[in-house]
Amino acid sequence: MSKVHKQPRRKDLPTEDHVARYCSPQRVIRDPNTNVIIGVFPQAFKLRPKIKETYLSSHWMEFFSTDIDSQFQAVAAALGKKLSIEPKAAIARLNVGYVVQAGEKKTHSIRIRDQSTQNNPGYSGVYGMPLDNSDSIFLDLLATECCIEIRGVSEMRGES
Amino acid sequence: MTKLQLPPCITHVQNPMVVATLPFAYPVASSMTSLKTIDVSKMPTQNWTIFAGHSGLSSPPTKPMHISLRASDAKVLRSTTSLDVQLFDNAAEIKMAFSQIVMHLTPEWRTVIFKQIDILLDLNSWEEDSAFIQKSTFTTFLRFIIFAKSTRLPSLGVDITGHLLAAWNNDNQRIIVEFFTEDKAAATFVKLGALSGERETLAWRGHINDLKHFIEQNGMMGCLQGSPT
Repeated sequence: MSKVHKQPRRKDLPTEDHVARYCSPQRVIRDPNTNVIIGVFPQAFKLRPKIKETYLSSHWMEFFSTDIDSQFQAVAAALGKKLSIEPKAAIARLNVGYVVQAGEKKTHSIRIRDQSTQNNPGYSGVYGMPLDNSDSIFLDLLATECCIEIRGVSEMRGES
Repeated sequence: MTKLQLPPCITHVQNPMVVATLPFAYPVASSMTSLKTIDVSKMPTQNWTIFAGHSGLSSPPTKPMHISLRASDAKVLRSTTSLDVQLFDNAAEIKMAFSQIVMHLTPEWRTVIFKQIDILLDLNSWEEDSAFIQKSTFTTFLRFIIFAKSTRLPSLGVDITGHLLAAWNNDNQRIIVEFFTEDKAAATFVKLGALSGERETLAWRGHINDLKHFIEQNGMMGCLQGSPT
């Protein structure tokens, strides 16, 4: 008997689009002297085995707007409804195509799917990552080659 | 006046310089001999870790002695320790560990590393995914920077597991290390290929002594030993 799906499978995001990943303050790389954000640690992209996470939470930026500033603001607002976002945290903007390519380099079949709901607009998931976070090079590629831009939350709120 | 008589095996509270930077103003006696008697009547309730005698990196303390300055409150404190107290304790033990090797580094290190520890263990930035810094992984970090003679300041972070993270950047090169217990670590490196000029990403895992060797072999010592930033 074939398996009955409760929901139709969601579409993959276009490769030219972008997803935003919330990065905890402890996983943001800041210049040791100036405290300016200069990157994020690859560990910001680890799945959380404690809660048996099977995909990486993200937000589809083009879902909200075509303007990048508005996208960051909308993502922060969407995140703020679900969790307390801290001023020292950051939001990383990753290109969907780059993430898929990084997966191909490491023989991971990565798909980024729209998971939007009424309560969580723009929500998306990065599927196909090693569940045990064993591929440190892939995590590094996400933090370097796939990251187009990183903005601090306080900077977005005009606090710095 | 309530007085705490320290056991004879405890000769001093480690590094008064660190104690002076702690958020609360603790009355600490100035001479080593008078430290055997400490006035605790004005101290806030707090769990303390006091080490017996000196211990450098080469011979770490076998086991720290945990002494509550108010013994009668100890049981209550341990069961209901609030997050801010736990963060304070974690920052204090990390700073004390750092103070043991600070004489090998330039003064900027102490200022910058302490500031980063305060940011990483800030109550106002604490989240569900935040983690306390595992002291044993911080000790591995300390051993590495001394062994590798690092002069360039790192950016610090904490993994969800409590492992200390450190990043060094130098133009087109970048080293990120996740420190584990027992002098083990995992690292990723980004550098430009010698011939192609294209960006390469490498991963490494093992003992920190070999990490220095691996960095040297790949011509990336500039990340660690560039002019102090």
